[in-house]
Amino acid sequence: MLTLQNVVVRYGGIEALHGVSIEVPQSRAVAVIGANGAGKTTLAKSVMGLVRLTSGRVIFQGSDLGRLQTEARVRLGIGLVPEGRGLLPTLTVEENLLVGGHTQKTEIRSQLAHIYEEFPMLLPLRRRAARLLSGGELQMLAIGRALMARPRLLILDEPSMGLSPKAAGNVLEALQHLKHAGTTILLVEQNTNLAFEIADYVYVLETGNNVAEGTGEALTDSEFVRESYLGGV
Amino acid sequence: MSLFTTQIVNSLVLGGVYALLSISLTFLYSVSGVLQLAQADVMVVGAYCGYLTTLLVPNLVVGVLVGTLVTGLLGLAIYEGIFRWMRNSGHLILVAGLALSSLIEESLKVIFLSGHPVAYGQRVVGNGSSLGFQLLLLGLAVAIGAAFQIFLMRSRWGRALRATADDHETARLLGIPVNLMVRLSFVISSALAGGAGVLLAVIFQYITPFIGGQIEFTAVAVILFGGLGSIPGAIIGSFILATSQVFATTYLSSSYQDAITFGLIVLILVFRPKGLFSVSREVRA
Repeated sequence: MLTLQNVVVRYGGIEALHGVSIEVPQSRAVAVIGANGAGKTTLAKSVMGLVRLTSGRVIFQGSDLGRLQTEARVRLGIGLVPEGRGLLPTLTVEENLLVGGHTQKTEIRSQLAHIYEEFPMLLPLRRRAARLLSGGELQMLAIGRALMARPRLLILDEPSMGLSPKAAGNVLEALQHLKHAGTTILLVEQNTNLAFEIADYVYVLETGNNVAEGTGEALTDSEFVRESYLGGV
Repeated sequence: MSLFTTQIVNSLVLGGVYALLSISLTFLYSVSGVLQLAQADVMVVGAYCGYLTTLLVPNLVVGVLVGTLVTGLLGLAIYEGIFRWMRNSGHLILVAGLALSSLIEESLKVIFLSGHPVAYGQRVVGNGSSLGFQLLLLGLAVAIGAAFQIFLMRSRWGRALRATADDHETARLLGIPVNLMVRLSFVISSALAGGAGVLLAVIFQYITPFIGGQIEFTAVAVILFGGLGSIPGAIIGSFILATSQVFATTYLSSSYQDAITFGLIVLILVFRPKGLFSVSREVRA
């Protein structure tokens, strides 16, 4: 469904991605893991057109996205839950959800009802300003809002960042539910355990380079990955 | 009606008009990040449009409609001609606003009798100081403001504008065409200012190209007082400033009017630089 071919991104004189290639098949969950500064967020932004590629290609459902605007990519069916959730603080929970469905001209209300079914904790909060929610509630809202646009591919950038173990558990549960419902997921995570729980296939980024890839099981067997990302266990 | 009651009504009417202009400025700033210092001159263009319209059709509501339509288009031209090319230009945006202000003022001087005041209210409404007429003006200001508020809060595009005001990048990620929203904010805010201009000219009962300069500082004082980006702050600030000005003019001297405006700016900048009702865009968690 999504292919990145030799993607290079340069900010000024600094190269953040040095020719990264990944593949996300339809209805599968793929994770990209790596430490801070590995280039994970840059990779997610490059798919959304928020950063310009220096070279390489981003192909979605057979079409090269080229310099397509972010808004157009959303209309094609790509959704991103950004790092830090990207909530709209002066809007209420329900307004955040409704604005998430901006690209949908019909059946917004039925999709809203569906999101409240998926994330029932949001229903009693629907009139509350987003800036007043807890971290876990915000993350659920961010995911629910991205789903309002009915994306074919959902990208999540560090969804467990800053969450309590319980809230991170709720996020894991929500992602597993989405995966079983057939949503294609690209998870960009520092939390290796979460990534391995969800993903069918994992890429490891280090300072902008793809240094390893494989299934969770295969990577767990890799000494390099165990040493670097699983605390040597 | 006693003098005191009359001045309360006058304060409400003037406050309503200041509120429209201040809302237009603070809304434009929220969505586009541009503090448009020529907005009061756009308002004056609206006033002249209303004047010309009422020469043909002596009806204030028609004057307001034409004033808002023409200034809405002017707002689009201002965006496409100037501010579209000045993204991230920092303080140069303020300079561009001042230059545009002079350009509009001088153009109006050339077009309209070297800027001599033209009488306004009398031919449209007869006795412009009657209570009924004052209430009509207040009603029009409230109707325009309420329509704008309903649009922002209830419509799909209103929510998209508010999302853009909160965060451009997040708005893009939701498929909102941010550039179109910024363009739209220029159109809507200029139309609001134009409508305010027609009403203000009727209150003053004359227009000159120079009234924009006087009003501009009032509007800036109001939005600093209320907090940049805060519509409730702009409304409350407008009524407080209008009441202060009306009562100072009545019971002291008209020369105190500007002193109050500038005094308020100084007090706000010293003691509460973010204004009384600054908008929190911080997320708690």
